[in-house]
Amino acid sequence: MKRQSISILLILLFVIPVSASTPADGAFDFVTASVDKVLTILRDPAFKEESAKEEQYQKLTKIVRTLFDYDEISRRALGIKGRSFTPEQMDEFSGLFTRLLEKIYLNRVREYTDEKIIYGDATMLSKNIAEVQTSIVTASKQIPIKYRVAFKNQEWRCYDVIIEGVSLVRNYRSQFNKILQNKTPEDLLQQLSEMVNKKEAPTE
Amino acid sequence: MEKDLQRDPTALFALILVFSFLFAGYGSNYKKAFAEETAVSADAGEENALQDEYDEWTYDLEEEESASRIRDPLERFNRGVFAFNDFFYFRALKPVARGYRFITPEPVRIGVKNFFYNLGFPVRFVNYILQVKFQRAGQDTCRFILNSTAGILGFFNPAQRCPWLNQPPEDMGQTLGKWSIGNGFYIVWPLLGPSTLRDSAGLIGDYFLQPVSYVRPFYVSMGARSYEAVNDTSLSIGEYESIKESALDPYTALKDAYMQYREKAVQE
Repeated sequence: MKRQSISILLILLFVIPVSASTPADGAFDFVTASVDKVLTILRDPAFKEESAKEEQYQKLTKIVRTLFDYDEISRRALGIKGRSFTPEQMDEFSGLFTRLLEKIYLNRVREYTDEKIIYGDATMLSKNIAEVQTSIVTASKQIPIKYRVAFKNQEWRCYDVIIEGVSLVRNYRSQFNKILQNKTPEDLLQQLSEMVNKKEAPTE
Repeated sequence: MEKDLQRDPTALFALILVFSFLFAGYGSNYKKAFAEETAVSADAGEENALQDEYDEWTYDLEEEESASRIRDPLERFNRGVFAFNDFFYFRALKPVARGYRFITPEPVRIGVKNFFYNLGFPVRFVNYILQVKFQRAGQDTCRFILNSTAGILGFFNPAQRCPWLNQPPEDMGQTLGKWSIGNGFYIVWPLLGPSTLRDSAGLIGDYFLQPVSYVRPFYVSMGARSYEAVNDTSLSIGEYESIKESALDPYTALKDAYMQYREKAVQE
């Protein structure tokens, strides 16, 4: 009898919270909430003015920083080649690469002209990794965009974006690998910083 | 952009001619290619170690084991052609596509795109059959009939409203991939863009399944192809630019993007 009540208690304890919100739901909510926040800012007529662009940029940057796990992205983008980096070089790489990705992401996102965004399914790929499917619908086609998110330190963070089957992280890794075949980490950092600083110039 | 270039066999003649040269080239590059291959397998071993390191990422890295590693024994030649295609895009294709975009409303351009897609039905149908995807072959046939009639020769796309009628397209390169034929090595064709040995062979097969290829005289057929390329480009101006702009090494970025894109296309 006692055993039964304990098991019922256990079931109540574990089943209810789990059924209320599965891990995949958490991932889904995380991605949709972040994307919605970005969209709200992009659609906000208050930012249409040229003078408000800087403020819009700041706001977007803030959201994007909670969306992406830049350290994880940097680590993965270097892959095994990261082992030839000293910790200082690694930090420098992470900082530069973060700035580059932010610039690219924000420039891309600002080309947004009210296309429809569709949210698809979220599937768990492993215990703490999920993939959230979204699509952007333009006049002539539909582009699938998948967000890979990981649950780390009690929060979801995105560590890869897959556009039409092309993983961003893998694409950068292929380039870094190629560069590091004949060049030193210093050369790569140099090239990266040139690129970031070139993009630092006022856009458009 | 690479898709558009890849699908448009304007330079098919050149393709066939250059083929013999390519195989000869491959022979002389054999040693180098072999060295690269062994380097790749060593690299894969390292990825295994990485996998142990981050237990939680197991799934992801496992998937990357099958990564789109592709030999590139013709890299020097390919980079040359890449530079040529880049030049051609910015100096010829893009200005023409922009002018065309300026004088042609978007719905018309989308209609033209729909028309050519609908016309490519034989390519898709034969390849669905060759991949034993009979259901998809049936669905695509329904789509073709609906769009050719209600959609007025395919200019409109009424099938868009039924998701089950819109299956991912298949081509001969994907069929060969499905039959476990490897990619061979990477090739960049003038005008056609990124490809592999396998996908190039697929392009020849697809050429004979394309109704446009049978239009005579020959220059009209070529003109139709070129027009399709311009029309497609007019709808995707900026895509190639953004790939290039965000890359440290645009050649490698495009190669990897092509390989990942095709890998996914073969899988689905």
